[in-house]
Amino acid sequence: MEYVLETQDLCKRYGSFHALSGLNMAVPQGAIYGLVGRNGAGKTTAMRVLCGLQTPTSGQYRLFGCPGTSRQGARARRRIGAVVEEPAVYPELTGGENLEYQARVLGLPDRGEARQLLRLVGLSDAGGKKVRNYSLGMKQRLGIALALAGDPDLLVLDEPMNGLDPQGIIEVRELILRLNRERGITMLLSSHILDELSKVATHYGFLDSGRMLRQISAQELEQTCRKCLRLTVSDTLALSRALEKLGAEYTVLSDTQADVYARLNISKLTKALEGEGCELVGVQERDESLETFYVNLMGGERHD
Amino acid sequence: MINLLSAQFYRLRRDGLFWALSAAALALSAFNGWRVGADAALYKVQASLDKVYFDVSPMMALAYAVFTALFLGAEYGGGAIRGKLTVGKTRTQVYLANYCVCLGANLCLLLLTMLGGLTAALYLGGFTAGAGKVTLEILSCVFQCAALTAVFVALASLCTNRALGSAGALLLALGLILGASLIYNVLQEPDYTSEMIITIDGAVMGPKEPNPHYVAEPLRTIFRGLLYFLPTGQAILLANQGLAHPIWGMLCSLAIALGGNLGGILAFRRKDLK
Repeated sequence: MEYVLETQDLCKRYGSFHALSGLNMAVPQGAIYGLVGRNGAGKTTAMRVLCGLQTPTSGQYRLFGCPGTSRQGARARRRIGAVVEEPAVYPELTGGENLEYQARVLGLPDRGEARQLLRLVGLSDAGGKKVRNYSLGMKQRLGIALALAGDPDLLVLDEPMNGLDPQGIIEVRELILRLNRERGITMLLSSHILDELSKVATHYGFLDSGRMLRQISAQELEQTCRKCLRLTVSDTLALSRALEKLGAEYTVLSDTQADVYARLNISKLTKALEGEGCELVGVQERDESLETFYVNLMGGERHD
Repeated sequence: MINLLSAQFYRLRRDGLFWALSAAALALSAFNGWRVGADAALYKVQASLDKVYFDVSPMMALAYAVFTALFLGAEYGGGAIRGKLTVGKTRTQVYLANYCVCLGANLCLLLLTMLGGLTAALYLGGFTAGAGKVTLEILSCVFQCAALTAVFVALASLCTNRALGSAGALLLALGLILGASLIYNVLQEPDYTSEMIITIDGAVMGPKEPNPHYVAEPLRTIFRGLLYFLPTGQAILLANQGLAHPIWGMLCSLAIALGGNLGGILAFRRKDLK
């Protein structure tokens, strides 16, 4: 698998506070990578470091295969668009002028692209309005348009849904999906709205205290979080035989427990188990979401 | 770097503050020139354009401070500075582009102030000094502008709070003006003074006595050097027709501009941006 972004033991310290403590992360090309963690877990610090706003205390990171702190890394950064925390805009300029400004920074010859980008993010009618009069959602969308100005291969968006109304959230979500599918842009997102993140992310990274707890693909997560019935029986061997006969997909967890991924008729199952000489002790319906997975992973005891 | 300059000058053209300060610089210097010239003509005071033309030059430090602090403060205020760094522009490039655009704008303010000051010529006629001397004096103002801009750019680049940065720049400008003015006044103290005694025959001068406020050597040389070193000191000397060595002044300004930029770049490169 090709990675557009890799970090190795990345550390960032502010005085005695360790914001990142040996972060290891890999963002595959074409992925929508969701960074999940509590407040202060290090998500924004990681993004700041990766965007060149802060230098790491120790450790390394690679952007498109180039060391991030080298000259090649600075050149590779040209392929990145980012909205870290607040969108980077000049409030006294209009939306169109901000895009024109960014086009000049990037040395883009075709400045007519500003109109296309405004249309893409749904700000065609507000392009001539001063940014200081924009709503939070409009600023967020303008920030994304600015990040897209250089036709980037990697888009870094820190809390892109923050402060948006439900309609705004839907629009930004659809924009993220469209950019990923149509333009093949790899995305690195962080969000507190796990339900929203689960609608777009193809990969997840769970951060806690500046460390990566776990990286998992959406597919793997789906496997882990599949709806299932957890059966507790006297003998899982006998249960297996019964489930084979019923044609149900299952995973044996222990001598007495198994997860069944099928809608089962409990009466039929009980009958089948009786035939195998097995006793059904308990049935529990399990429906684990990203949220419950996150809570289980983090422990859920701290709320800072 | 060229791209950054193109972008920054594009923003400057749309900056309301810049146009407001330009209009104010032109209007105030034109009014001041007209007022000084008209007063000289009305009261039949012996004056020439040379004597009044650089009157406002010490105050230019305030205009440079206000513009630089507010213009660069917007880089942090809206977080726009991140937009440049995330696309691979180096901090040195960003800093130098900021310096160049602020220098351009401040020189524009200086030019407009000088143009406005020419209204005094309506009453006082042209310069009496030679073209070479006037050119050197104008060049001295340009170098002072470069030096002060470097100092204010460094301050604005290192202070992320726009309000704090602006207040700091204003206070620094005032401090530089007042400090230089204080040194100038101290140096103007005569070595001996004599009291005026009123008698029935009229006023007569008393015996000469050493002036306790007179600054003797070697402190006098240090103060004179400091006055030449400070851009605001040079401006005060210029306003009082006392800038005897403009080349030295320019070299000092150049040293401040280079030192300010170098120090500013080094500190800016280490700064964590949020």
